[in-house]
Amino acid sequence: MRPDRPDDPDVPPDRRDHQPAHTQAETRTRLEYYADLRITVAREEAAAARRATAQERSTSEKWQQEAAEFRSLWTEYQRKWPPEDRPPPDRNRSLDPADNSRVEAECDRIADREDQRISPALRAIESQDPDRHLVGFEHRLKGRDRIKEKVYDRIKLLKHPPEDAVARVSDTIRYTFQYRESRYTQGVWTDIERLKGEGFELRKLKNYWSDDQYKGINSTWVEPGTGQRFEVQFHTHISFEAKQLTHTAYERTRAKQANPFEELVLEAFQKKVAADVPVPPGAADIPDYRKEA
Amino acid sequence: MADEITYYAIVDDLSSREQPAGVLRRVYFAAGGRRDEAFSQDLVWERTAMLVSAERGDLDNEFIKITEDEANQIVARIRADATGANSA
Repeated sequence: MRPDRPDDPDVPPDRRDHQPAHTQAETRTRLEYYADLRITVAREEAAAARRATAQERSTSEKWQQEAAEFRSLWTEYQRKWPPEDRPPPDRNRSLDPADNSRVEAECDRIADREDQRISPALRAIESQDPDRHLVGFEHRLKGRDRIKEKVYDRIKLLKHPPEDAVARVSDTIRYTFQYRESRYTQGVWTDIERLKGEGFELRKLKNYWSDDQYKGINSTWVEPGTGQRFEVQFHTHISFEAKQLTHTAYERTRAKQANPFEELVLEAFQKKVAADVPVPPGAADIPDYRKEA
Repeated sequence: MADEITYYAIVDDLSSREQPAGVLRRVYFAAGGRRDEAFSQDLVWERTAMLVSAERGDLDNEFIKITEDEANQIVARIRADATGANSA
């Protein structure tokens, strides 16, 4: 009896002697055939991984050259508008003492929720895939001065009651996942499901990969037990570095001290950096989401 | 050439596109440069970085382009709220 072959039908043919003459007979057993198949597939996967790694290395080297050029441009900007000539930003503006105390107390509660519930869950999610990780974890709590700036805007421009204003700031706690380019899109989808699996509720997701000043995906989540909001950003190594490179330009615009021309220069700088950030395959297709209140 | 102004309705979690929380204008000056201002509860246009923050990934508010007439309606509503005219 001849060995069983992988392409044999489940039901034996009526006449085996109808096989065409030019077909070579399979001499391997089914087990041998599958062992060979596994080796072939593993080789192909390893080759694909090597190609992706080489591509990422090449992209990264190109980016490092561009980043050096951006740093040089920024030095030029600072020569024209020296930081030491500026007055310090008016961070607390006119938040009155009572509102200031409320904000401080709420910030203490936020820090407790972060420490007790949210960060442990994010660390647990991070541990499920060694191929990507949380970056900037030490900055997960937003600075209180910046929170107060946002609260001031909410009270002054949007008529929010002070106690409500802090609770509705979506990024008092924030995390950033950083992925390899080739694994970005699938990684984001998987981590969104993991966050949901931890019991968090997705409120908003905005895809900035097609925007001209900032690249990445930002999302807002709620911890249902306390109603605490937090932000999760999804970046590649390069988009995260671009964000860091342009952060001072953004801070300068936010300080509302730049003159109108300087503001345009700052915007142009951010656009130039963002334009050189490679978009990972499929990333631009991840849709925005907004849960209606 | 005159200054160019683009208006935006500010929509947050407590408001809607029909009833925005506020209004913002982005002015491009004919002489060069630009400035963002929002109409405040003090009934004046105040410089703000809210739109710049949104362009940079801040998800607190949504900004929807509107016409000058629509912007004027929001300004009128904020004025009426502040002066108590809407509660009469």
